[in-house]
Amino acid sequence: MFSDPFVTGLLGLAAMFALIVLQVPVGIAMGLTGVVGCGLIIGFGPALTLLATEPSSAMSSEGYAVIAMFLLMGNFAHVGGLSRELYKLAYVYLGHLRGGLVFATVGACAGFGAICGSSVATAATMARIALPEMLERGYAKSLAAGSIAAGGTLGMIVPPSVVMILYGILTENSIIALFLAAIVPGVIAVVFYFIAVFIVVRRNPEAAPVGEKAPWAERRRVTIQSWAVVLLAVMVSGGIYSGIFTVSEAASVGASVALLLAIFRRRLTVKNFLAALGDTAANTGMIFVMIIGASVFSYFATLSGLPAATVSWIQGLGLPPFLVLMLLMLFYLILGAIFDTIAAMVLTLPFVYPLILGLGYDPVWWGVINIVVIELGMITPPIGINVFVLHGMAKDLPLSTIFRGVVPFIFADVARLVVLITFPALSLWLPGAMGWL
Amino acid sequence: MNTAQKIDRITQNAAVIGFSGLVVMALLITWDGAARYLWLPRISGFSDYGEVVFPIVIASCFPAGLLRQTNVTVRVFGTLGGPRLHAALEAFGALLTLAFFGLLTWQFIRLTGQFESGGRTTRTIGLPLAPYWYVVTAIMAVCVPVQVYVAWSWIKAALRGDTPDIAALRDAEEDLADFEG
Amino acid sequence: DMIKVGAFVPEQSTGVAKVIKPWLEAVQAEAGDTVKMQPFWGGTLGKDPFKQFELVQNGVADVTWVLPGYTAGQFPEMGLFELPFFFRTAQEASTVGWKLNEMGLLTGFDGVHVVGFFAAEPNAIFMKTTVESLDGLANLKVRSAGAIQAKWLESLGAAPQTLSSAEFNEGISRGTVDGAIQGWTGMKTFKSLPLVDQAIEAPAGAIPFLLLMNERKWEGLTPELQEIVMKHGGMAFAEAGGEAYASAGAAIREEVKAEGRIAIMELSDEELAKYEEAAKPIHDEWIASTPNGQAVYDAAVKLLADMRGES
Ligand code: NA
Ligand code: NA
Repeated sequence: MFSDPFVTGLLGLAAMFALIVLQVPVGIAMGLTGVVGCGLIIGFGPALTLLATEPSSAMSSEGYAVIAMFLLMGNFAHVGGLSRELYKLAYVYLGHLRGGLVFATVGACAGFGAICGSSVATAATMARIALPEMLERGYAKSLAAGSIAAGGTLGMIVPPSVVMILYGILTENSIIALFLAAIVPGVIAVVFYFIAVFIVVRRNPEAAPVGEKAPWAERRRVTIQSWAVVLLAVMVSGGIYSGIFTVSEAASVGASVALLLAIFRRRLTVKNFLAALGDTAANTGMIFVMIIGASVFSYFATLSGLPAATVSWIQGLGLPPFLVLMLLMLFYLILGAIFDTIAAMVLTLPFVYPLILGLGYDPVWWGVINIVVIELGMITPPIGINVFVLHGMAKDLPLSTIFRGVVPFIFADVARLVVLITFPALSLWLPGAMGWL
Repeated sequence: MNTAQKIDRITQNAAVIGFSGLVVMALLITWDGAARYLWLPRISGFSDYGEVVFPIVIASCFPAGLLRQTNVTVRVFGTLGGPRLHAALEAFGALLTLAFFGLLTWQFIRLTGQFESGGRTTRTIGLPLAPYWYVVTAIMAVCVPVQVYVAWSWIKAALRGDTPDIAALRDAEEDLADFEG
Repeated sequence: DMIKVGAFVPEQSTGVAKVIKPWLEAVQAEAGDTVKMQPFWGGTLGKDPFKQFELVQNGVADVTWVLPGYTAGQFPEMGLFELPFFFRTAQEASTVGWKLNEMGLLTGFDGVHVVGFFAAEPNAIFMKTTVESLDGLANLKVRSAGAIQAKWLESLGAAPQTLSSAEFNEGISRGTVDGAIQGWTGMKTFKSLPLVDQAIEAPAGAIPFLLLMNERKWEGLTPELQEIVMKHGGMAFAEAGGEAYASAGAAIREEVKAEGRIAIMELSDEELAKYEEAAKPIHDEWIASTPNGQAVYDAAVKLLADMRGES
């Protein structure tokens, strides 16, 4: 039965999904099926050694270390109070609209996305700052929670983005090109979320009160107070795009400056310094276990020849590429129902990436589309990680309420996806114009 | 303080100490980057230090993650069935995780042995790899007893139909994120 | 029987297209149905350039293309090829390398069998930040492919950084490095030529390459197959490799010269002599720090003298 690597490949894939459903951690399931599958093809002696060469390669790579650096930067920025300042900044300009706090939340999520690489971290941070305030002022619970859960996904789409770095390393695409490609889609995301909020409060005015307009003196004061967050975002993004820093230097500079800001503003205590390190460590560990598992599994996938066979099979069907793309979108929506972003990315990449290249699509463009469609899964039922994070932080908010609040944002996400697929130039123009394609 | 919390304190300290190394690397990389523009002396063979420090940093967070079970897991069945089914599935996942880290440790010992006998060094300034990888391997080895404890806790829980102490550590993880200055 | 042959670079690169793939095809043609030579180009059997030795040592791949410089410390005698101003052509380095191996002077092949040795044409220095002379490298950050080049760069006052070719590309376009020690073929393969403005033709060592087979795999082959593998490996492989890199390097250099964008700086004979003399301490230091260094160095000097006398 195992004489045919292709059959072994299919069985391995099935075994991996079975283990995942049986509550084996995703990275472990990939790593174990990968090593057993490789063992059946090349012998268990050599296959087992992959459990050292692959982790040691990932763990000593500066590229992967960047992921930990960006997580560190986001945590130090939060310790330094930068997330709260962002929220205030967005509020003084948007708070006077109907649903002003919701607009401010979405805006602050996008801003925090520029100094934080993760979707869950953005949602959790903003939940702590914006949720109590919205509930206090009589905003509908569903709208308040939904906007934060959805706004959190901006953390992964607005560069820097951990999952984008992962995609860049795994597919050997330029991380800078990917970051640049995500800028316009990030702006579109914010605009579409604003439109969604606008429609909701228009149709249901009780969902959100009208706030007071901040006087210009107040706006100026708050704007000046937000110098630190602007400095950090400009140093990191500007540093990368202008060519002053490499990506890894930018992440290190970002983490260092965020730490110095927290010290300088006397916000750093031993307790929150340790908590910031602990949180960075927990998330780094989680990501690395998946990177290690995925790298062993993708060895198995290559050896089995399954990805190549799948690609030529699909190409042999003679379907129009666009239809294949639509089927992939559907596939990712289903996958996103269960998996978190990084898991969905590393699980599918060995199979989907060659297919996308085979269909003649641009790898950088696909990086953006792939992240957008997988991020959609973070807020869709039954398992939407961001929704769970909010529920975990405010236990009196039922899951059903949050999922209800997320619905308008899901429509906005789907609309964005359609626009980005229809007009690839929205993603590719900027990196192309800056010479990164 | 129960046993789970005592072990948690140790693994958490290890992670925090390891990740202090990440902070130091961030500051050094910042220095090296700034030195380029300020005409300050550069650090020779700088990437060599990362090559040996990053593995130790990354390894240091594995024991804590195993104990708190923060690894991404799809818990569909467990939440549908009763506590006994949940504990049984957790025990199954924990045992396979134990097998995985056992194999990792074994292979890390082999790899470090190969580094040692081959006299392997970093690329530019020739730091010997083996001493650093002994540290990494030692940390990986710590993962094994930690995971034995996790698996054993869930097996007991499955037999008794209750919830083990380590389940509470995962909730502690969420509270920890609340650390604004 | 199947032999999985891996290379972390694409099929079109000089080493694969002109050296390893012809070897693979020659073995396949002569061995016929008794073996299936299965290629895995472009890193499909392992992308990380720094892990290629472990992959073949552990038997994940049966045969791989290994760059000794990426496995620092493992092959101590390989530093010889990196010595600046020692080898003048790819043919010299390739032939001498294989002969040294036959004499049993090369070590570090734990768990592997050496199918072939070859070397690229001697490196040049490619700069984004142009300089007037080698002394102008002081305080500039220059990519080296190994520790010896790094020491030589340091002796010129430069700050060496050991980077893979891909890392170098990012570094030079970001401005984090100012230039690189690299071969003409390497510059072409990794698409680095558009990123530099100057080429300094100082023979800054040659990059040695190994084609290694897992030892158990080797021992499991029939004697007939072993003979076929080595008939196209060994000396024939070294000659083919040296020839391929020399002509590929020369062709690329001509192309670049015709295009005229990159300034090519040739060192005068006096300058060459001066820097060769200045590099002697690097040679001596390598001899002193390498267990069998003196014997290897002397053997190589003798082989070189024979070769140069013949031609
Ligand atoms: Na972000
Ligand atoms: Na979902």
